[in-house]
Amino acid sequence: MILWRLTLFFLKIGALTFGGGMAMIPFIHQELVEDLHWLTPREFSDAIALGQVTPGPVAISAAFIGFKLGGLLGAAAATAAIFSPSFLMTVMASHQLQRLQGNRTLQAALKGITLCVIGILFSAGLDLAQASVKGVEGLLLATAALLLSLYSPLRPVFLILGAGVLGYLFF
Amino acid sequence: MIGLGKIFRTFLVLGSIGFGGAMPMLALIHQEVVERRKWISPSQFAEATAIGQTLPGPIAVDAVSYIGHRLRKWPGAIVATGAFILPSFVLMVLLSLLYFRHGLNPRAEGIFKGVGAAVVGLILAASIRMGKAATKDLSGFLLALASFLLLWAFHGSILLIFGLGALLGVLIHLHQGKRTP
Repeated sequence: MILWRLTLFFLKIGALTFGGGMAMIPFIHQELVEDLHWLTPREFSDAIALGQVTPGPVAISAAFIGFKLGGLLGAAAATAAIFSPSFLMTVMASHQLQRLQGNRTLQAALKGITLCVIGILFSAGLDLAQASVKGVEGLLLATAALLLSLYSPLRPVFLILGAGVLGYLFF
Repeated sequence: MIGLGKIFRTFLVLGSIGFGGAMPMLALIHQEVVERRKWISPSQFAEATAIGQTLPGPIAVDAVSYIGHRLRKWPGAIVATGAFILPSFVLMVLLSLLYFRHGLNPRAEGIFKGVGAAVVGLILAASIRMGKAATKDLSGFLLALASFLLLWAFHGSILLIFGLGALLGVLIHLHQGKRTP
């Protein structure tokens, strides 16, 4: 039963992550953390961190969430579900690219959705901050990660690992 | 014709060494598939990137599916996408096993605090980066701001926010079309 709901949830997320893998974060936060309580804020934050330190797309965090809720089968179901909608759309649309790009109305609608992703991602970041940024040192580290991510060539994997080491040593 | 085994091995390697979001991964794929192996042309690669940015889903994965389909139709798309995701899936399952079954979850509170703070920074940075790229005018900025407030202050449904965003995107487009024919 939970496997079925998990699969449906990630199929929905897979069809709605416009603008890259990070766009899944607000959905997961709102539904699985806040509404259903299937995942604690801490587990959610760790899921994203592990998604960043493993190679490949951050959307693989779905496997971590699936594993918690349904073991190996849950991980496989969540992963298949999150990647299959865009896979099917990509393959089916591959001959229609020019028509898709030429459709001004569709492009305008997608642009509107992309702008929303910016806002909801920021909101999810702030919500998560309440759960996982603790004290002045947490605030400093979050700010440092933000600035380094924007203005340095350091990859997220190094920022996550570096923050873990700093946290272990000094917090 | 390029063998499915070769496609599998190539994307398995790419999936094992690609880190850090869509752009670094796309650069890596370009190096291997366009420059080294010459499986597709630069303009086909540009199409793969464009389709990844237009359709939902992780951009690099969409691009890989598109390239796989270019090479060997459906079997190529399935093999390329599967191989690209496989390494991170296996690694994530192993890490989940350690985390949930064997208590790898950082009991040292410090690690959690550090990593948690960095994740928040990375999410906010991703939003700001997208904002810099996409909000070129006031209407765009206002729409992003409105969606932020709708979710943050009013806990609105994200689907509903997307629907409003799509509608407003079309209305803004029509309005601008009228102003500058």
